[in-house]
Amino acid sequence: MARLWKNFVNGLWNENPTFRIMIGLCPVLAVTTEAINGIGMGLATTFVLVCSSALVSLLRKVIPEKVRIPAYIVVIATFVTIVDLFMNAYLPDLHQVLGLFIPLIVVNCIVLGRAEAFASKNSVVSSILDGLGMGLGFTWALTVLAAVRELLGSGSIFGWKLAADGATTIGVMSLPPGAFITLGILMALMNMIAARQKRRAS
Amino acid sequence: MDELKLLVSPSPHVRDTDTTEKIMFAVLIGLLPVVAAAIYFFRWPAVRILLLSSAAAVATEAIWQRLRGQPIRIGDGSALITGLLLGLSVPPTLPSWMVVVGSAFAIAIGKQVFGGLGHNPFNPALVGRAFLTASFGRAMTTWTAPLDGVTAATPLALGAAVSRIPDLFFGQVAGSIGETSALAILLGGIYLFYKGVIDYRIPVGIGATVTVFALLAGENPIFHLLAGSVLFGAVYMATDMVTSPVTKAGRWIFGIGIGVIIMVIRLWGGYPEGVTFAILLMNAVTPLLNRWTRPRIYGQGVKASE
Amino acid sequence: MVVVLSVIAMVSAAVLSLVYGKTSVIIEENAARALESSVLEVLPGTATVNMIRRSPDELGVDDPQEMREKGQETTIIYQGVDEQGQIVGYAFVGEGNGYGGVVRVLVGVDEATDQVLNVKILNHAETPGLGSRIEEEGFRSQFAGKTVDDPITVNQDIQIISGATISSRAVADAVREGLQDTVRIYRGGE
Repeated sequence: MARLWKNFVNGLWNENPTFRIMIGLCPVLAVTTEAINGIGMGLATTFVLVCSSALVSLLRKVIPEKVRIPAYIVVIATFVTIVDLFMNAYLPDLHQVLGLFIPLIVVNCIVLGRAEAFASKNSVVSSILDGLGMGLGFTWALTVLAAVRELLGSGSIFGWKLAADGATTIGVMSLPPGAFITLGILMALMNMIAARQKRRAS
Repeated sequence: MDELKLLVSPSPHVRDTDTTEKIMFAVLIGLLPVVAAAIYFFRWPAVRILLLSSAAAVATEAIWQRLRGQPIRIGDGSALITGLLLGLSVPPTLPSWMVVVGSAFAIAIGKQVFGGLGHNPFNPALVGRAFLTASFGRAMTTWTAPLDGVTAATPLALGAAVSRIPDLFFGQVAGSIGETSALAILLGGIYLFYKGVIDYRIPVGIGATVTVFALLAGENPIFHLLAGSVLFGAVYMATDMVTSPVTKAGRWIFGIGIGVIIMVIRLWGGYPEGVTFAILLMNAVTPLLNRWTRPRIYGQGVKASE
Repeated sequence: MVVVLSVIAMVSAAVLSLVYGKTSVIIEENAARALESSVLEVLPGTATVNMIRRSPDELGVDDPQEMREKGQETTIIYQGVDEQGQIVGYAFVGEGNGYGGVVRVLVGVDEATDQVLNVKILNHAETPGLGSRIEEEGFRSQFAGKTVDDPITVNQDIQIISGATISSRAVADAVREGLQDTVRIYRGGE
């Protein structure tokens, strides 16, 4: 039981895919101009992660090793396409903003990486929890980054305008360089907290 | 025969009397003509900006070093210089809070984050200026005419046909507070060269390339040299010792590269001025230039059969 | 090995065709509705939107298959008709090269006078806070009342947004060139 809980919490903090393992950064930088995009992208990826991890784990004894990569890709691509079609139909505005990055979830390192490193070697329940943890860890990382960028770059948060119309915002935050700098600062903060935790533990 | 007295001492054996403080002080003197011209042409806004940018830079460095538990080295003058350079490269109408934020960014992200003096790959003042240009586009492109403070366009925006060369030379044009007076910059540059602080290869490389490029493109070379921040960048920004190559050949290539990029941006790029990004781009190439132009060590690299 | 892959692929295909079947209808409806609301913005008073496909050289050839075979370019014009059945005007999509990519605009033209009624920015990738100001009412309203006889060029009859020359020029180019092509095609066939 404790082991299962650990599977889940792992992705949230210790092995957070964005701040710790630093994989799947492409959408992190491109999509996080507004907080709602961060949540949308994160949850879409989480859905794909959970479903594909579950299916890969279910079929792990059945898929021969030689063809495991193509097999994983087909599974992942199927779920991504489902998400893409659903978003296009029921959430068209979000779909237009996220655009090209929804299909790119297929090649998001997190999804394929967890399928290969974890789901193919563990039980279905563990894999689902791992997928959920990693996905939610990715989601909160995206959301925090996007919230900072939206606040400083557009003067709003989740679309709620805090700054007066025409107030000066720090434009570079909405652009890629601002994304990199914010990511670096957040990572530095996380490392600082982790170092302090370790010092307190020892 | 007298006893030979041999002195035994540890290295370094080649000594020089230069210290960081001395070099920084020389740069400060070299900046005086430009600062004077800035205050003459733009009055109180220039004073306000320069005071704020310098203070913010020095304060940021002191606070950073304190928070990180490092010894506070603001006395070496490098933060002051960065602050002044940044202040000189912004328009006179820039709001005070932007000056402070830009200056703090220049020191914190442009220099301290990399490990402080000597470790930064990019010119910190230009990092701050690039940040300001990308963040506050409108504020960074609002210029005023010298002496009367009326909103005006820069010579680069107006074009060569409308600008008068004597105005460009003495500084009777709109622009950032340090870049307008070619005369002041040249005076400062000559002083710095005389003091051995800057290597002539970089400014000459930049100037020659800009001239040749302008001639080939059918533009007036004098205009391109005097308008905008080519001279200011060539003398004070590109020559920063930390971010430019150490070898002679490297410096030539560095200067030529900057000149090429400036003209490409000016003629075909989206911005009217290209000096900031040209120097930053070549800063990135500097480690490579240093490696490529490394002098051959005597005896190595020669085949035995030759 | 082959069996496993084939089975996975077949199941995937089956699932996807199911999902596609259900969602494609809704997706097309969404697209049509989005287009209609844009056209309504640039042609005020419109109740229904007709899509007209015209080709510059062979007017009257409405069949897409025929046009593709002839290798011709189609221009799609959106005609706005009000509740009484009167034609309000027509709208077209124009493209211009902006700073961060292509800028797409929807231009509404008055039926009676062939004057531009309104311009709407559909897509752009311009710098936020600078080039993105082409979306502002103050900039777009400059195009109202323009005809094919006007230069519609920056620094002539169109004022640029300070510091966003390329973005401003992209919109002006898109409107000017699109207007010339569209009026010619729309009026040429009648």
